[in-house]
Amino acid sequence: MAIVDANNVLCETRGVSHDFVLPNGNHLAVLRDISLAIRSREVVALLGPSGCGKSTLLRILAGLMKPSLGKVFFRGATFDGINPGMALVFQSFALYPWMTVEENIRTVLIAAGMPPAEIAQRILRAVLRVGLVGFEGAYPRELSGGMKQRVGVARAMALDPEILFLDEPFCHVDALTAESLRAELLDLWAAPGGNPSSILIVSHDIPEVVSMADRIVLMGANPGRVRQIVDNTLPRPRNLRSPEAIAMIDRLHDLITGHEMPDTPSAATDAHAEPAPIPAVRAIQIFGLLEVLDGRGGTHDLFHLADQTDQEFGRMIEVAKAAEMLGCVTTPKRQVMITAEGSKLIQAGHTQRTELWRERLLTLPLMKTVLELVRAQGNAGMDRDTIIETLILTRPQEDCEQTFTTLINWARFGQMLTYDEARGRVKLAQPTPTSPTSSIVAGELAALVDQKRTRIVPGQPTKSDLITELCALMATSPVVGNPAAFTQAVLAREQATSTGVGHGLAMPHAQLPSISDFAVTLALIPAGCDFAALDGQPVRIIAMIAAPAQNRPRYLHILSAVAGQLNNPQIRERMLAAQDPAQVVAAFLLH
Amino acid sequence: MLHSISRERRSRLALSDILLILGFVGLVLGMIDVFHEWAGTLQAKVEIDLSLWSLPHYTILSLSRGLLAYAISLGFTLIYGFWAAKHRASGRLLIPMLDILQSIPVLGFMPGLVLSLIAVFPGSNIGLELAAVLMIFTGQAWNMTFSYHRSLTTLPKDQAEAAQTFRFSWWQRLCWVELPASVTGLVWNSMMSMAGGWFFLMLSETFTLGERDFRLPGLGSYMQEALNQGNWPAMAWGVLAMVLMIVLLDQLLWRPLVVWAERFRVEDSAAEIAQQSWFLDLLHASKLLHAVGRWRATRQQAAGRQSAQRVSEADLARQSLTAEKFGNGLGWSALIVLVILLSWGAWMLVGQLLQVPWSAPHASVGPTPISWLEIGRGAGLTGLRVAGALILGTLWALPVGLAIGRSPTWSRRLQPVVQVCASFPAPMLFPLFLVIFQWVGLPLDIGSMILMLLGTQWYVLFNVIAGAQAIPSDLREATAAFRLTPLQRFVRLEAPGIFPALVTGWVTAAGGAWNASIVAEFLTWHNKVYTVDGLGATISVAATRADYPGLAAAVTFMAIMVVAINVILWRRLHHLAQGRFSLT
Repeated sequence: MAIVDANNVLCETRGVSHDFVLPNGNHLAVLRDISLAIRSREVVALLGPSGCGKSTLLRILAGLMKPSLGKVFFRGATFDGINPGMALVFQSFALYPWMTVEENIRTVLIAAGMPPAEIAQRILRAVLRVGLVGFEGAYPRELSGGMKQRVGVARAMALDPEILFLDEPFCHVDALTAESLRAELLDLWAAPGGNPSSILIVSHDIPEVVSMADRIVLMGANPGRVRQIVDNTLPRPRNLRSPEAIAMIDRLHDLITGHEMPDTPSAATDAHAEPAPIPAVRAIQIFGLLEVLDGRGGTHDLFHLADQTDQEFGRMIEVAKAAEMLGCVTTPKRQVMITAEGSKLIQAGHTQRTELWRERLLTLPLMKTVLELVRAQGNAGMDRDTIIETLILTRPQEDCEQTFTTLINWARFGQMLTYDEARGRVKLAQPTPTSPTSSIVAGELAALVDQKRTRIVPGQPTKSDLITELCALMATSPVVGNPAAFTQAVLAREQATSTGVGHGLAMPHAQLPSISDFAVTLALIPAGCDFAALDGQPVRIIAMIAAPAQNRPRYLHILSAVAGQLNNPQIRERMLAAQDPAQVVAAFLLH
Repeated sequence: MLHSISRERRSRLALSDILLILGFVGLVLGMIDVFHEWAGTLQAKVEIDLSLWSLPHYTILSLSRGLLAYAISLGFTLIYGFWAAKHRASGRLLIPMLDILQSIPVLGFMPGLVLSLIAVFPGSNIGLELAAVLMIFTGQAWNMTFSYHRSLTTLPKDQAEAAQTFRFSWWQRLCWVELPASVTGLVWNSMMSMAGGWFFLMLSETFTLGERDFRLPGLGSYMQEALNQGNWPAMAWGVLAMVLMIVLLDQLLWRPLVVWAERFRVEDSAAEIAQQSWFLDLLHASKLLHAVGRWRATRQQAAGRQSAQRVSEADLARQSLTAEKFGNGLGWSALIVLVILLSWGAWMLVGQLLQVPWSAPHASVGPTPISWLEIGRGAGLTGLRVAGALILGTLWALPVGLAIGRSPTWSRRLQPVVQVCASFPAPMLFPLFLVIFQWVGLPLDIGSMILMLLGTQWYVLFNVIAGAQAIPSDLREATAAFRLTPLQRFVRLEAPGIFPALVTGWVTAAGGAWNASIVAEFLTWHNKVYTVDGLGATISVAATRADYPGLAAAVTFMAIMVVAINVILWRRLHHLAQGRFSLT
């Protein structure tokens, strides 16, 4: 810090910490002791996995939030309310839908108290600089994501800010447009003399950060803190294919994995250290990872995996960590390597797989504790809040509601626990029948329904969650091998319940469709049906590709037929290009 | 805004302009008519002329009352909703208070309004007119306020943050962000409110307070007079005028507003079928209005050129701080005043309530005063009728609504019809049903349940249609793929699928039914009063006799009943609907 000329600093935080208060009244540390200075004429990037508090830090710097502790300065002085030298570009654009492009820009200029003549001039200039000429009278709903973000940039630039704050600005913009927007932004910044003097960008995209930033602030999660600040001195304009840039990206990969997945567990083995938090990863994602690894000889580079499955690297690290916790993979350096246990798990048949998964889970002390707690309650089962309270006692630093959700998800996969969301009760799972006859079908179905019935968590993408989880169950189920039997079972079950007999499918309507979708799909696969007749819903496609590995080649031609109708061009491309079914599956399951 | 839209063909320009000018002249004449009425001296009871020729005059007077009441409702909504949303401490009092206000039937407001306003404007018609307007207002305002408050508190996070980072002042934020975001909800609720206001039109224009009879010239009093005389043709004309007024309002005011409000739809919400309004097209086609628009634009530009220097950053920050402090201070002082007023009101109310006997003593002279026993018994009976009306309404509205909602064509065709039906004040038809009941031999104890149903069934129907439309088509396809019988489809898919909408409909319908009981259990027809035991009848009787303690007790009891049922029953059902049966 000593070398930094104090006058040169535009904006800085000193000792900023921030806590969120969770609904249950506990505090969750989001940021801890962050001191960061942004100098004039530089581009600084905050890089880190989601949940590391980078957006929160940006909002604190912008003055949208007050930190629980510490101070924020602009040009050496604290400020009340909004940071006076900053303009913000939002991830979700935050344009007012009832105003035209011009009105959106005009509005902020009027709010800044400018005289009309200057407003007109600034609008003209902003529109010219950002390339919106001809779109002044358009409403946001008429524009593509890229154009919307152009308006977002023009609106911020019209204020002539000294610092431009960008909050994951290209997250909702397609890759090609993002590329050109990045270049345009850098041109605006590099234009001599003018504002913005500096740019602060929040990102989870490593190449983006390498192409834009002079300094890269690597952030870590739980709680959010600055791990390291990397100087990026590549000459501009930057070519991401140059050996230097590739080396830089590589270096960042190594640094990130070094921080997030250290090979030599440093203080973590210390008995007094806090236990590693349980990553918020669903079991199906772990299976997805193992599938991919299994299809590629057992080892792969973590960042390549993230790229190929269209995942944020932070997410992929979480999945790998979870898998590592369960002893399914190891993570030497940037590699993810499947272990013997992992291979056994992924190659096993249905019954055995559940057993092996249960075995893996029991290697986690926390899971054992929870299981013991529930077992001690006998048939009554245990109340959700009590379990969460227990978790908080041992892990005060964690979002224990999330941990609970994750543990329950894992345990359900192992058929260890059941959870009734409406009553908030966790019980030991009853063992399902194992004879390979139609009673399996019934048991499977009951399990499916049980899973579905209790899985609606407010605030989560429930439908897709349900589907993903169903897929996993189906994937591990021998029923799938015999779609006709499955369909019949579903039908029989529906018939039984609608006439008042039986109990299994008496479920609320909202949960009916997915099962039907599955049944429909599975019934149609062997019939070689015309998939163009279906509307190509991802639900149905996922159901197909989640079928057991040995069947996949058979379905590939159907897959490509269906892929042609998909709306998401990225997934479509990937599906059409895929030679290896595992790739396709991974793309979906991890998505 | 108007001048920027479209250039129409030349031939239509002249026609639309002529129509507009004619309309404008009509508007001015109508306003003069209304002005005469307001400027007149106090006449507690005017003679109502049942001839057809006086009907337009009466219709214009009633229309002006309804519109004025709506303007007051809008003003009330904007201020009350803003206050409740911006000042948290006040909001905690204001929102429950709105719940209570909503559950008070119009007769609960009537004596206070009439007596105080006549006292404020002695010898002038203004007091009485204003009282009628405010009585209509009490049937309009509350749901609009709820809607506005909801829009203010559920503003998308990014839009609120943008307003903050770009330093919008509270006024700029209101005009540019908060009002536009609430327009859609406000317009739809305004339509409902207007219908709610018409419901008690007859009661608002003719009412009795003890010895004193009040009657204002208007469509409601015309109807009442026709009923008193049993004049069938006059009744038919009155109904026709009412329907015409509703249709005209819909075409000239609400349709254009709905179309205009489309632009304020928040982008991601599902776009419905594009709304259309011939009247708005007519306005757009007008040459005259274009000229006015151009003139205004040049005026604004000229004004802009003269305006002031740029304000500095520091000034802006200071201004916003001052505004914040001022607003906070204002919020607290208003809250304190309100609390004082409420305490005083509660004290007065308790004083009134204490005068009500537990059970009615046999008075030697005059009518027996209203007792708690009678109120409690009446509440039970009315409660049963409300429940019955809901069940009956659901029984027919559910299948019909589903059938309409299933077919996009039919829902498009029938929606306007249903809307007019719902806006029509059902009490105007009560005598017709009374005659039918007598003819069939149905006792009024049960008949009044059907009368309640007349007013409130539409809420159920509306919501069922909306719910049925919202069921995703893939779920329908799945039921077809599995060859579910219609009954199975209903049990498995449709019933749970529309449940949330149905609950919303029930809540509104139940509230409406309680309020409607004051006219459904107490009717006049051919100068004869027909009444049954019930809380609504008790309230009407108390108001007619000017038994203020009894009225206060009965109204309070009804408000408590409605709010309690809301908390105990409806809120739970609502949670259930949102948690388990939500389609999103």
